[in-house]
Amino acid sequence: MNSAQDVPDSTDWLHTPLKEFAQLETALHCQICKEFYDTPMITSCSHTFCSRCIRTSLSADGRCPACRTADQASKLRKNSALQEVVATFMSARPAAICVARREVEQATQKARPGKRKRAVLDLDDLEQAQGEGRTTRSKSRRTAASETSTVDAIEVEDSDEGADETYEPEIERVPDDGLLECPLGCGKRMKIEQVEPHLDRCEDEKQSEKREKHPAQVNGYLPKVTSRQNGPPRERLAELNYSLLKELPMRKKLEEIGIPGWGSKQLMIKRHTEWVNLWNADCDSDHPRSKRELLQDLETRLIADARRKKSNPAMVSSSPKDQPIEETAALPPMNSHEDSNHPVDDDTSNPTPQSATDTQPAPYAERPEALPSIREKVEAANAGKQIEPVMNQGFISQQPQPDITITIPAAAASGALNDQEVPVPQGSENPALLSQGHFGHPKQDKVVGNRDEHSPSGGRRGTPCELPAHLHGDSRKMPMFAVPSRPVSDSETGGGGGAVQ
Amino acid sequence: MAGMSGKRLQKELAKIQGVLPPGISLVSAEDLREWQMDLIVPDNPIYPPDEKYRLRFHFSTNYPIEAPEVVFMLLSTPERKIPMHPHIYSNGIICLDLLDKQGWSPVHNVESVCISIQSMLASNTKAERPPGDAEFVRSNRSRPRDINFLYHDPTV
Repeated sequence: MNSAQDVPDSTDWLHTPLKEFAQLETALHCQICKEFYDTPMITSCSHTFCSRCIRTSLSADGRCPACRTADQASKLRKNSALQEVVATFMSARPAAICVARREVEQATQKARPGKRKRAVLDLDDLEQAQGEGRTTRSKSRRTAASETSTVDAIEVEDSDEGADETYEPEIERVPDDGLLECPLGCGKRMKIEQVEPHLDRCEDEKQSEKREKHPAQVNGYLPKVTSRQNGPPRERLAELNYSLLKELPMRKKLEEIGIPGWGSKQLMIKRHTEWVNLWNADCDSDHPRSKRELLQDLETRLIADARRKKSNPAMVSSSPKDQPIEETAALPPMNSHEDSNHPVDDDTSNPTPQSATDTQPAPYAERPEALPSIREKVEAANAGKQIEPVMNQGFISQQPQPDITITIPAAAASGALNDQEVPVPQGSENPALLSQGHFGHPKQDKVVGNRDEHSPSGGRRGTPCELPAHLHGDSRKMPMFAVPSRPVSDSETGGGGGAVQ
Repeated sequence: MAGMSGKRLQKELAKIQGVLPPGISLVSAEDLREWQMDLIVPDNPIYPPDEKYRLRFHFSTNYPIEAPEVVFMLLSTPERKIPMHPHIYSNGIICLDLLDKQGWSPVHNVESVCISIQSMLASNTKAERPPGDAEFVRSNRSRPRDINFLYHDPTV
């Protein structure tokens, strides 16, 4: 949240003489993520979004977010021209904003001639100017070169900030410092007397340096076109028809494409969708990442998702349909598996009778610090000792909401419901986006996908005010943060991931 | 999917803190999960111009892929009523297809939702509650997004 300040934003332009650039910049933003287009893709209805964004959106909705026309991810085409425009704009932006700000600053200085207040602003600008000096210089050096190399340079800046960033200015910043550049062309600058000894070591140093900062950029160049060079171009993954797939073939399918195949079907669906989007978006990209990076990305996404859901109990309680997915998605420690391929066994995937109907909430999802202690107990358990249930105060105090009970995915209940269902015709969809839309009243149980858990109980039809099935008195009251009835076994101990359904 | 909401909301917040359309103002946005906005409805005698209505936005992690939950809030200080409208229940739940799964689109944002609700109020001619309001309010326990609304009224 604290990064809000240094996120480049179109509003940066507003108080400069280049106001109109704000609109230009907004036009170069994806409407979904509101950031510069990243690998823009054009839909069959000619709207453009980031590859990642539109894929996610289509898999959630199947329609173009802009005009609500039905569309498919397989029909997306790359919008290279736009990508180039965005890339070029991004490389030109720092210089432009620097000039614009300087203008403003000069104006204010004129207004207050007594005080030189460059210091603060200039530090900022200097940094920026350095950054931009780099790109522009390297750009002009390569004006004759192909456009794609320009794109290379920028993408790096975006993704690879950090340690390399601080290193780099050393190379670039010092043109007139009385130092000599290494005659062997390693790019190092040194005092004259250091040159001799350096020559002996130069080759070695170059080697080791290359190794250690391989992913870094040299002169804004990207020596990392990794995966695509190493292998044939990647195949895009097809979306699966989840409803037709049974759990077991699905598990196989997941493992076939190299992602973990444990967990319930819902969980696998979520993981697969996410992965397909991630993977295919990466296929679109000019700079594909390695599969390992992608897997890590997938993992962090699922975990972050679960964390945030977890820390927001109000939302969680309201969305029992998401709950099992989110919670179990985070739990099994995938990080210990490089290939993340073999089944992970832990409490959520143990086919205990309990977790077969209810998915246990993960008490540790929001308490990462609790994990080590649990591990200890697990090990103790494996060693044959008796262990106490891991129910500490923290968890108890976290279950104050009276109406949060674990909801049974109301398969049975809704099944019964569906029998008496009379689908209510739905009002026609209004395609106009920002218009007011249609209004109406709660309608009975139009059973849409897995939303049926939430449909009001079937007994009283036609009124808008039934209790949802899971809130009825006879629903099973489960403690929110109960302990798995079986000891948590560590992933290393193996054991096939059982079915949770 | 996950992780998207944070960045996107930050951007929206930055924008909202700058300029907003007339009659719409940001009240609080302490975190990136729940924001409150105030609305004034212009040019409609049903809603006096000095009366403000408080909207509460609740964002899920999947925002903007998923719609935010938007309801009117009833407050005593400062006084905020639930506006009378044939599609707004007296517990603040709004029946608007834009806020539901089928009507939502990720290109919407907080501002556009506010504008839509504002214009829905501005064009309203009936100072009444939806039919079945009392019973719905008494018995409803589900979150707005879990209620299946029937959007039958394309005129509003």
